[in-house]
Amino acid sequence: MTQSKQKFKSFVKKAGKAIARFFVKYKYFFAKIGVALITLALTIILLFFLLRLIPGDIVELYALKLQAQQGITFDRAYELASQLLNYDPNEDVFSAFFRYVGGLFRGQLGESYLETGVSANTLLKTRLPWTLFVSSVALFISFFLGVLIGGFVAQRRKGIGNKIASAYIAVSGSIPDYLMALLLVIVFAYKLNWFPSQNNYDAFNTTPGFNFPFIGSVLHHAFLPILSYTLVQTGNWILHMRGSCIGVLGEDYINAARARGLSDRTIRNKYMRKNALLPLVTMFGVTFGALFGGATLMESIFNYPGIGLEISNRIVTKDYMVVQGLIFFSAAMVIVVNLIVDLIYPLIDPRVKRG
Amino acid sequence: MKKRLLCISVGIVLALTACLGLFACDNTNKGKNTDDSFAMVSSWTTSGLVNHYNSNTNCTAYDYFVVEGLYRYVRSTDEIFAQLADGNPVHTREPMSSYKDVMGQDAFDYYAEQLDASTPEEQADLEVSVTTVKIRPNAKWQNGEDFTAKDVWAYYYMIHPTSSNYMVAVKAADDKTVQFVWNPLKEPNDTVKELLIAQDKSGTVKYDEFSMYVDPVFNIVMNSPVNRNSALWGAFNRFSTDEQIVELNKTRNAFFSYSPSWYIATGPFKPDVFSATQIKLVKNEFYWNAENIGFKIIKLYSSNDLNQTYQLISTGYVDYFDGFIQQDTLESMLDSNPDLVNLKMYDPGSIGITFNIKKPLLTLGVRKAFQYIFNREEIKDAANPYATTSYYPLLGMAASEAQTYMSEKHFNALKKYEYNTAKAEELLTAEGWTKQNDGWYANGKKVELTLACPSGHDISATAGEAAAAQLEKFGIKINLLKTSNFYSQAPEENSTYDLMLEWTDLNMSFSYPTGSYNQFSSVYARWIHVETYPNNYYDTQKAGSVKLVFDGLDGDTNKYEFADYINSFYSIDESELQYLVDVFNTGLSELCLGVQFFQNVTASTLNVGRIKGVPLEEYWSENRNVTYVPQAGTDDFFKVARTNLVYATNYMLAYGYYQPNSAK
Amino acid sequence: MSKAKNFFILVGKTLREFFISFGKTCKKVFSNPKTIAGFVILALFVFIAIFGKLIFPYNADTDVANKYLNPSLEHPFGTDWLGRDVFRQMIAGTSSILEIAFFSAIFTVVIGTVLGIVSGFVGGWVDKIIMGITNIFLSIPSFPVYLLLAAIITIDTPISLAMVISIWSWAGLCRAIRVQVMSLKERDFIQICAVMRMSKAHVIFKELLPNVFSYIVINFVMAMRNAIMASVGIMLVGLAAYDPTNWGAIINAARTKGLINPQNVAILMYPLVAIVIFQSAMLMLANGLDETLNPRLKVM
Repeated sequence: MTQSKQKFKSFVKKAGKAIARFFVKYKYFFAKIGVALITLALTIILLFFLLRLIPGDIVELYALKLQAQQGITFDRAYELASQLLNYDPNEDVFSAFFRYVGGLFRGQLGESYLETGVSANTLLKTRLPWTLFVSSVALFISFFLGVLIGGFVAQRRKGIGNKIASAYIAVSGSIPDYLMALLLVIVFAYKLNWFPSQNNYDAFNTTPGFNFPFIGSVLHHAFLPILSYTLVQTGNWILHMRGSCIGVLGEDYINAARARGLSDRTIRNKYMRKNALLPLVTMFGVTFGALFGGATLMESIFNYPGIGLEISNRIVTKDYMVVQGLIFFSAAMVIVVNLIVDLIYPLIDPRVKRG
Repeated sequence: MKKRLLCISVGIVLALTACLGLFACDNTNKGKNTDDSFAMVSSWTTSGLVNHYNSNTNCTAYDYFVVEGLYRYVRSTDEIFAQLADGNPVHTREPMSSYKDVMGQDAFDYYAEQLDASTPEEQADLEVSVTTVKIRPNAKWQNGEDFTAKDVWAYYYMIHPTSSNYMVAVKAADDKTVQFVWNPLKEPNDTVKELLIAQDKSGTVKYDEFSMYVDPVFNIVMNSPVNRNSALWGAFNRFSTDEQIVELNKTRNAFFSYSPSWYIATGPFKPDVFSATQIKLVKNEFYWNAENIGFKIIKLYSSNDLNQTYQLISTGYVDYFDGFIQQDTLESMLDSNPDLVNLKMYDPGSIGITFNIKKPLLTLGVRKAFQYIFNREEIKDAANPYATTSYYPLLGMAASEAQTYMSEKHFNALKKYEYNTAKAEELLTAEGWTKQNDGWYANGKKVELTLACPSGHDISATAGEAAAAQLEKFGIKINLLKTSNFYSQAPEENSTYDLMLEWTDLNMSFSYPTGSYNQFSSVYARWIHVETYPNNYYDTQKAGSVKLVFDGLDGDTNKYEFADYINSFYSIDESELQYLVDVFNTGLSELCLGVQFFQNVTASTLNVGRIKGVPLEEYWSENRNVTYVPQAGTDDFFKVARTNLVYATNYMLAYGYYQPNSAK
Repeated sequence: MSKAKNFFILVGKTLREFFISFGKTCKKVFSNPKTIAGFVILALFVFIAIFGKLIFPYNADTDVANKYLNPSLEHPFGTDWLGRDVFRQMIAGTSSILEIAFFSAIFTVVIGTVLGIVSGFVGGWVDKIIMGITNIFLSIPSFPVYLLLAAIITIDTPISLAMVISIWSWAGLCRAIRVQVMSLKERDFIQICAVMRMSKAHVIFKELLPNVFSYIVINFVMAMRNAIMASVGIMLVGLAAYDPTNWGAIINAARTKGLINPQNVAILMYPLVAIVIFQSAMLMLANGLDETLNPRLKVM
C-alpha cells in the first residue's frame, strides 16, 4: 500500500518536473503565442467598439435602400426594414459583445443583420478562395521573379539590366496599384478585347465543377488580375532583394570567395542568395498575412468577388457582426503568419538569438 | 536546371489554358440579338438568393422581372397598368352588413357607432366603399399552379402594406375575384385607392406554401382590438396588444426567414443561375402572356464602378441602363457604339442645398440671402445640362409637381429668386455680416462653412463642386466634403455639416403630394434638423413628426399643423387638398430651408440594335442623344417613362412591346 | 584680452573646419550623376511648390461653358469638367502634395525606425509590447477608423493629414527594421562594441543605423507614394476637405467621371506622370546618396 503510494508520488513528482522543464525549454514559444493571443483579444475589443461608434443607423440605411428599390415612402420602408433585419436596436453594446465572443468560441464568426443564413463563415467559404487564388499566385510569381532579377542585377550594377530594373522600379513604384490595374484593363480588355474586364468566371455559359470550360474560364478571367498584382509587386521585391544583396556582397566572405576564383554564378547561388533572402522572409510573411484581408480597390476594379470588397461593402451598410468576423479572421491570419515567421526565423538565421 | 525547366513548363501550361478559355467563352455578345437575351446591370448583395419575398433578394432587377402585383404604377406619370389583374378595378358602394363576417363583428359595431347607426334598420342602410379586382383567368405561379384570390388575401394579411391602413377587410369572393373593403372613416378618393393597390406586390405570398404562417397571423389580426383613436393608422384599423405583438413578430420573423424550395413569384422570368457577380433569369413558360414575350433569357451583370458599366454598355454586353450619364461621357459612349440611344424623362425631384438650421450662423435672414448668391443656371449646366433650372427655395415638392397640385394663383405667387449678388450682400450686411478683403466675417470671425455631398452620386458631387466654387468667389470660405458616409452623418444630432447638397425635394412613390411631404418629413427635415416632437410624445399621431405650423392664406386666420395632415392626405377631397398644398408649399418656401437648383432629368440608355420596339423612334433615328424631354401629360411623356425600368418595372417586356431584334 | 582673442580664434578655426568638411562632403555627394539628376528635379518641384502660384495663379471659378477644352497655349493641359485649367490646378496643388508626401514619409520613417531599433536592440518586455502594438496596427483596417474620425473632426492642414496617414504605415517598417537589428546585434562588430564598452548611443548611431540606412531611405520613398494615394482615400470618406488641386483627387475624379471619355483619360495622365517623375527623382536621389555615403556599396 505505502509502496504503491510512494511510487505514485514519485511518478507525479517526475511528471511535474518534466512538464515544468517542457515549459521552461520552450518558454520562448509559449511566450510568443501568449503575446499573440493577447494582441488578438485586444484587436477584437478595439474593433468591436470602434465599429459601434461610427455614426449611422443600420435600419435607416437599409430603409433608404429599400425605398429607392421599391418606390415606397420612407416610413413604410423603415417599417419594413425593422421587420426584415435580424437586428435588435435595443440590445446594448456589452451584451452584444459577450454574445459575439460566445459565438467565437463556438466557431461562429458572426451572423449577418441584413440577410438570414449569411454569416462570416459562409462568406469566407465562398469568397476567400477567390481572393487567395489570385493574390497568392501573384505573390509567388512576383516574389520568384523579384528574387531572381534582384539577385542578378545586384551583381552587375553597371550593366544595362540594372538601369532597366531601376526604371521599372521607379515607374511601378510610383503608380498606385489600382491605377496600374485600370490601365491594364483599358488596354487589354476595353481596347483589344483579349481578356474580360471583370468577373471571376462566366456564369452564363459555364457551370462550376471540374470541367474544362469552367477551369478555362476561371483562368481566362484571372489573368488580368494576377498580371496587375504581379506587375505592381515585382518592382518592390526587386528593390528589396537588390538592396539586400548589395549589403551581402560587401561582406568579407564574398571577397574571400572571389579571391578564391569562384565564378559570379556560384557566388550568387551559393552565398549571396541565401543570406540576402533573410530580411525578405519577414516581408514575405507580412505580405502573405495581409492577403487574407483582401485588396479592396483591386477587387473593385475587376469586380472580382473577393473578401476585401465584401468587407468594405458591409462596413458601409453597417453589418457589424459579419464585418467583425471577417476582420477578426484576417487579423488572426496576420498574427498567426507573423507568429510563424517569428518562430521559424531563428531556425533560418542562427544569428538571431531567441528571446 | 531542372527547377528552371519545371517552372517554365508550368508557366506555359497556365498560359495555354488561359488562352483556351478564350475559346470556351462566348464573347460574341455584340451586334444583333442572337440568343434572344436582354442584359442589364443590377445590384444584389449576397451569396445566396434563396428567400422568397423581397426580404433577402436586395436585387433590384428581381423587382422588375420576377415579382409582380395585381397592378403596378409608373413612377412620375402615375399611369397604372395591370399585371396579375384582369381589367380595371371597379369601385362600388355596398351595404356594410354584407361584409360583417370578413371585417369582424367588433369592427362592424364600432363603425356603426361612429356613423350614428344604432338601430338595425339604420345599420342595414350603412354603406362601405368596395373595390373589386378580377384576376386573370390564366394567371399562374411560376410552378404552374393557379394564382387565386386567396393568395392576394394571404399577402394583405401577412405583409400589412400601406394600403391596408385604409382598409377594414380583404375578401376572396371567389377564386379569381378579390374585394377590398375600405374604412368608411378614412376612405381615400378613387384615384388614390388605385395607386395604393398598385404599390403592392401581391403576387408573393402563396397561400399553400405559407399557410402555417398566414393563418396564425390572420387570427392574431382578427383578435386584435379595433382601434378607436381616429388620429391613428394601422393595418385594418386593428392594433395588437403587447402579447399579441410578440406573437405576431415571432411568426412574422419565422415567415421572413423561411426558405421555400423555389423562388415564389409570378413574373415573366424566373431565376435560373446565380453567382456572386452574374444572374441568369429564364422565361417563365406559365406566364399569361408567354407567347408574346420574345426574350428567352435575362442576363444580369453586377458592376462596382461606372467605368465597368459604361464599358459593358458600349461593347454591347448590356442592352439597357437607367440613370443619368454625364454629357461628355454620354457623347463618347454614343460615338463608340452606333446602336445606342439615350432617352430622357423627368425625375420627380430637385437637386439643391439644404441648410442645417441648428448652426447659429444660418438664421432665416442669412438663408434668404443665400438664395441670391447662386448662379443656378451655371450649376445646372455643370451637373446636368438636360435638367430644368429652378429658382425656388425648398418647397416640399419639385416645381413641376407644385404646379400640378397647387392653385394657379398661389403657384404664381411663390417667390422666385434670381442671381443677384448685390442683393445677397445687402441682406447679409443687414444680418450683421461684414465683408472684408479676404472674405466675409460674422461675429468677428471669418465665416467658414462645411458643404457636404455624397461622393457616390455624381450629379450631387459635381453640383457640390460648382456651388462651392461660387460661394468661394462670393467670399465665403467653404470646406467641401465629398463623402461616402453622407447619409449616416447628415441626420446626426451634432452633425458637422452646415450645408448639404443632394435632393431637396423628392418623391419616391406616386406623385400624390404625400410622397414628397413624407420624404421631406422623414429624411430631409432630419438633415435640416427641423424641430420634431419627441418619440414618446403623448399624442402618438404627432410623436416623432416635424413641428411646423403654417398660416392660412387669403385672410384665413386658421393655423395648419403639418403633423396633423401628413397622414390623412389620402382621405381629403380635391379642393381641400389643393388649399392645403398651397398653405404648406407657401409656408415652406417662406422658411427658406433650402435652395433648389434644378429639377432633375434622368435617362434610359437602350441598345436599339438588339431591342425592337423602343419608343420615340422619330427622335432617336435623327439624333441618338434625345434631348427632348416630353412635357407632363403628353403622349410621349407616358411612353418615355415606360422605358425606364425603375419607374415602370416590367411594362415593356410583359406586354411584349420590347422584342429581341434577331433580324439579320 | 588675450583669452577673448584665443576664444574667437578657436571659434573661427572650428567654423572653418566645419565648412571645409561640409564642402568636401558636398563635392563627394554631388559627384554622382544620379544624385545630381534627382536633386535637380526635386529642386524644380520645390520651386514650383513655392513660386508656382505666383507665376501661374490658379482661378478656382467654374466656367462651365469652357469645359473639356483641348490643350492649347492658353490651357496647356486643357480644362476639366467644370472649365478649370488643369495645368494651373496641378501647379497649385504641388505644395500640398509635397507637404503631405514628405511629412507623412518622415513621420512613418521616424516612428518606425525608432521603435524598430529600440525593439530589436533592447529586446525583452519592451520588445514584446512594441510588437504587440505593431500587430494591432497591422490588423485593424484603416477604413472604419477613417469613417469614425470623419464624424468627429475635419482635417484642414496637410501636416495633420500626413500624421493621420502615417499611423497606418509605420508598423510594417518597424517590423522589418526590428528583424534586421536583431540579426545585426549578433554580428561580430557589434559584439566587439560591447567588449570595448562603447556607449549604446555610439552603437546605435554609428554601427546599426548606417547598415539599415539604405533600407530606410527606400522605404521613405515608397511611403511618399502611399501617402499621396491615401490622401485621396481620406478625402473620399469626408475626413478632409475635398481639394480639387490635389493630384490624387484629380486622378480619382477623372476616373469616376468615366474613362470611356478620352478627355478624362488625358486629365488622369497628367498628374499621374507628374507623380511618376517625382518618385523617380526621389529614387534616383536615394540611390545616389546611398552609393556615395554607404561604404559597403562601393561598386565592384
